[in-house]
Amino acid sequence: MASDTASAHIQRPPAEQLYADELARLAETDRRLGRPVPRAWRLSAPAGVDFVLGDERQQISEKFVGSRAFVERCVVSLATNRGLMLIGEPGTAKSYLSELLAAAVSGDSTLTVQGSASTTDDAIKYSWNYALLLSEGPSLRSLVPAPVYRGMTQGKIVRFEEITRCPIEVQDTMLSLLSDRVMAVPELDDAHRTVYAAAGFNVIATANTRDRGVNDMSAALKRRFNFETILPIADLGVEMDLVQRQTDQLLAAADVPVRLPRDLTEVLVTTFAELRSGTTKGGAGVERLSTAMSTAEAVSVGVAAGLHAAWFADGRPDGSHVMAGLVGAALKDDKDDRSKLKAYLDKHVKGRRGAAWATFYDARRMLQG
Amino acid sequence: MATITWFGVRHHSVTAALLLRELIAVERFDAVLVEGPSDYNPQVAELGLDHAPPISIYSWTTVQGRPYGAYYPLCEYSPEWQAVRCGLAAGAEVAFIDLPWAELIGFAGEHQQNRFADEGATARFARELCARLGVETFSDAWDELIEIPRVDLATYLERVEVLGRALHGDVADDETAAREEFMAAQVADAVSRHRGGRLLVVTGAAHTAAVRELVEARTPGAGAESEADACGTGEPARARAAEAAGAEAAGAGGPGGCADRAGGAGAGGAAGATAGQGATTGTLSGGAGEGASADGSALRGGVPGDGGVDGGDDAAGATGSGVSLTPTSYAFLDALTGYEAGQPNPGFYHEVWRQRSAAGEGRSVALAMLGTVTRSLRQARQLVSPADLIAVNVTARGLAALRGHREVWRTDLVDGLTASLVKDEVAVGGGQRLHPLVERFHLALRGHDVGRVDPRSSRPPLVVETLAELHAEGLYPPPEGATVRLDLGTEAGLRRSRLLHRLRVLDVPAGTLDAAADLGLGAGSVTGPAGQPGSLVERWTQRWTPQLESTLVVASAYGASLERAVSNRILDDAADVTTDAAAATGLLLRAALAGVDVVGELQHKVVDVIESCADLVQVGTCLRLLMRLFRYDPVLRTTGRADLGQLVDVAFDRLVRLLERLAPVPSGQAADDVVAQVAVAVDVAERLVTRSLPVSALDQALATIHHDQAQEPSVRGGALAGLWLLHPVLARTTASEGGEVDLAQAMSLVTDPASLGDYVAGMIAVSRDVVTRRSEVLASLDADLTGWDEATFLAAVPGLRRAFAALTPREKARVSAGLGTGEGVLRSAVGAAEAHAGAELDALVHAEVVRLGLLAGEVDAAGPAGAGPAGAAPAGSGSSAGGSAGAGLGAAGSEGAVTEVRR
Repeated sequence: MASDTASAHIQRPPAEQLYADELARLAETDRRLGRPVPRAWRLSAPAGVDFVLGDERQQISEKFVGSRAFVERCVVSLATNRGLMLIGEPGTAKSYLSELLAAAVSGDSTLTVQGSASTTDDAIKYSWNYALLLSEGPSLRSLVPAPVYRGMTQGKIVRFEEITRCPIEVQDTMLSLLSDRVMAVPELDDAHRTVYAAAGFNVIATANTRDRGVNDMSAALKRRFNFETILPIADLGVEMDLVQRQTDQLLAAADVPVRLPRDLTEVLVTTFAELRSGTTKGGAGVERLSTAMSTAEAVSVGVAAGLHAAWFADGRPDGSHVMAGLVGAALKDDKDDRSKLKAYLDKHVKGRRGAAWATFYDARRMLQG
Repeated sequence: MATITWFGVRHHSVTAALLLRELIAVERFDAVLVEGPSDYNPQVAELGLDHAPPISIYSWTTVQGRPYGAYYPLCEYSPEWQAVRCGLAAGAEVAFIDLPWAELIGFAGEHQQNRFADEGATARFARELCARLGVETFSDAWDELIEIPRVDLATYLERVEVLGRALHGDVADDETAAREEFMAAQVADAVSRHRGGRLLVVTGAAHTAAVRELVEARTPGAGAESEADACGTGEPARARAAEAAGAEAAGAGGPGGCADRAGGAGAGGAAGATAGQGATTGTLSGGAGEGASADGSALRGGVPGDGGVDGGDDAAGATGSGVSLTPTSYAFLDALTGYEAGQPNPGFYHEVWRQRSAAGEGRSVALAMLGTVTRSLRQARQLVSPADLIAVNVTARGLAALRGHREVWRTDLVDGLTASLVKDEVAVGGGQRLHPLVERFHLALRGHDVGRVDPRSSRPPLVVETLAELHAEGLYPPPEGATVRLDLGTEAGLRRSRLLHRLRVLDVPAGTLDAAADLGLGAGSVTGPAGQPGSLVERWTQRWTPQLESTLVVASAYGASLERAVSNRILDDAADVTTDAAAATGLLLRAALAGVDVVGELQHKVVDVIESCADLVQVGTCLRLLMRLFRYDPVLRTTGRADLGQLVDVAFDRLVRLLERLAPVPSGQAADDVVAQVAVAVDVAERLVTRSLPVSALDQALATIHHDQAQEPSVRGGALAGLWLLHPVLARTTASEGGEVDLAQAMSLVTDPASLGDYVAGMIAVSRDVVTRRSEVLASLDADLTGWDEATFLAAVPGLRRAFAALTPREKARVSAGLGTGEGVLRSAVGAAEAHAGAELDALVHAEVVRLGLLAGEVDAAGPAGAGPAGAAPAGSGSSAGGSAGAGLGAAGSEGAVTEVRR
């Protein structure tokens, strides 16, 4: 249930804005049932889980597909003195889940550090307004708080995206923050030198299992996180529903009247699932691609196919549009993957029935060169 | 009038077991009827002995010679176990009321081996229930509704009634219908026996309502008096039950329960909760007439141990059935290991039982299990700090609170452990395997308990004897596994080896033979994987499995004693052998290794097989093995047995007959095989001169082969060597006057040079002595070689090369020495390819020399026939390796090139 906020012009409103009415409804349920809400949290733990997984009876939309036990573990981890580390293949909705959790717990998913090779301490803790610093010296006025500083002082969840892309010494900045829950600002006077984390502060970090090795995490930091693996969606039907829903939503958002036909969605999701898992539905072996064939990637291919059909064809997406999306968006010009995909088409797709499969197979010429 | 208390259970439910124990202690039941194999009833009192669960009632039967078995596993916390034990202790009549497994095999086939697996757990209702409760499996759903809230008897019976009806569905499949019909008959029969008594009927929850309705139908008029109406039969009640199931799924769970999750007020449990024990207690008038016949069939089936299946020789066909107690283990019962018990982490539930059955409030189960897991992890050298443990505990408790569990439960603990300790992806290999650390958690939560059956319980004598022997020899397989080395050269080693070989014959998993002793029998595939050559030590790997005793129970169909059972099993296997002589000998060898004397009984069989076997190789293999066993066996103590001797005679005779009619064989492996059998035949004739074997027949057969121009040269060569070897034997046994075989003359019969190599190869394969001892052979060969031209020689090289390659270096040296120098030397110190290349080079040089007229045309391309000694040869390169093509450089004594040989 997307709420009509004043931010209609925002390309992608954060979860707490998009689902403001659902959050309000869940908070009301908490009050009515008298459920205990952890200090400084917006919702009780069960309400947080319901927000993420959805609950028809309370008119809460399903936002994330995963097992209840898994989401429960995530929510509980945030209530402990350990951070939450979400790991998984690219495109398994790690960042999205962290956004939803932050929105549910703190009502604010914007305290985000984007990890990269160039991320420094400044972007994590605080930096200075140098004009003020020069004129007034170090003071709270001249201090520019970064997400962690704000999270600690306001008692909110901080999201640290792609933490393993940061150099290891930058990652280690988080050590004392997570264990002692305290940050030193040595430049300030005694009264303000030590920032204690307010209740409600915690960290959700995400790490991509494919990027493991870019920068590994120190054992010390690992100890301060509870790790949770997001697995690809195992149920083909569930994944199809999700891809269909999201593709339709995105096409609608782009004001494109085209929708992906159901049989084409099946082609798309089946292909992705088989190339990801390494086995066909019938149990035959398939060479897995080096590209992560994630659900998110399937959605983007689906949207690309829809746009392609709407703008350059008769408005009816078929297998060739999916193939075009697959080649352009998913394969990333990897020669091995092209060859593997060709083998997959010839070995497994060739005999499949239905127009969608046939047009998909016929479009294999796009794989040449 | 009999009062029946109906008690539906889920197998392995701790709460059900606790409630049953209390119920039986309070109520004075006259009979306790339990879902289980009724063919075990004659022995049911033995369940009261001093067993240590987990144990299984193992029921087996044979269908068309194939054994099928099924387990009814019983843990300490199994409701069935508590019902039987408490019933027996209270002096009630205790009986199992389900169909014997042997009668279910038509329905179940062999796939469902565990008869106490969850039934209907995959049905749609179960799936929806799981979805509503937010859990993954039916086992978890059961925990949410029954185990975690620690429901009281009234709530338990009410919930189980609802769950059972929903799981059962309206339509029963054939197997279920037959079983329920049978159980109803058993109950009705008990009712007639206990007029005015009190009966307790314990069945799987899915069957309770159906059996009750069938019983009520069998006892007309009972319905009116039955209090069971409170809970209801009939349509409206059924609808009500279905409705209640929904309520359960949505909001049941007692205090805290799952109410939170549904967003409701958790009032689900309240509706109709007044339906207590009375709800499921029906009063029935006795006198069901049909019961008696059902009782009769219940007692059908052989009872091992009282001689029922010990059929001696008659049992060789392995027909029969029986039922017996066998120990099992939590490792075997753990659903997570893929076994279909439907009970994950049995060790956890055992701990729950221990804590809850103890007087007063026990410790926290989760904390106790966390300790177990921690010890296990530390044993595996994983670092688990106190801080980690605190994190696990906090997370697990948080999860329990979130899920509305009144205490930290199994899933909370596993999730807490996983969240706090695993720092990698939880699934490895594309989600195919669990993280090793998670596997370790489950291993620790599984429990290591291994059951023990009281030795006083009646088990087939074979089981008792074998277990005693295994213990006495220190060969009882330990659960953690062990490697055993047995030296067959020692008395004790041989005895222990025989015991394991006996069990191997019976397919009892007491040990796996990793390396067989080298008995010089050349029958590795029969004895097992080859070990160290020349070593008499066998290596076995042992690891306890529950099948150890269950297979022994099944094997008791073959006989009451181990020796008898093994013999019968081998005789039984022999029935499948009709024309394969090698297989027949394999049986003898297995018997020899197992130390059972079946030669006498197998004699006719083996004779028949050998005499009808048309495969030369099989007969040869058989003869070789028999001869070894008869003459040279230092280990298995079979040397000199008269019956073995007779078998040797038969096999020898058969081999001679097959050689007599030997058709031309193709070259290659087939020819090599035939030559090998010639060697076997001659070998036996030589070694067993004192037995009056038909040596002259062999002699004639070999002569025939040798003179057969169509025969493969190597076979002919082999036959010639055989003839040569047989001569002294014949001279001794028949005083024949035939002169010694003239090898040189015989060889001269071989006119095709290309065949000569193969011919010699055949000779050497049968007897190396022909070339190492008989100078005339080499001389003849040398003369032939010397007389050949290039092309002829090149054609003969591969065969000759092969022939001499078979010799050992020492023999090659002897050959070289025997040839001396000066007249052409058979030496082969370079590789065949090199020699061949050298020869070709020689030929080229020679042709060039002729073309240039340097040889004055006296030697043409046809070859240097009659050429003088090497030194004077018109052309002869030193060696191809040297590459020098200078004429006349060939040095007679130079090492190396075969090419010089022919000069």
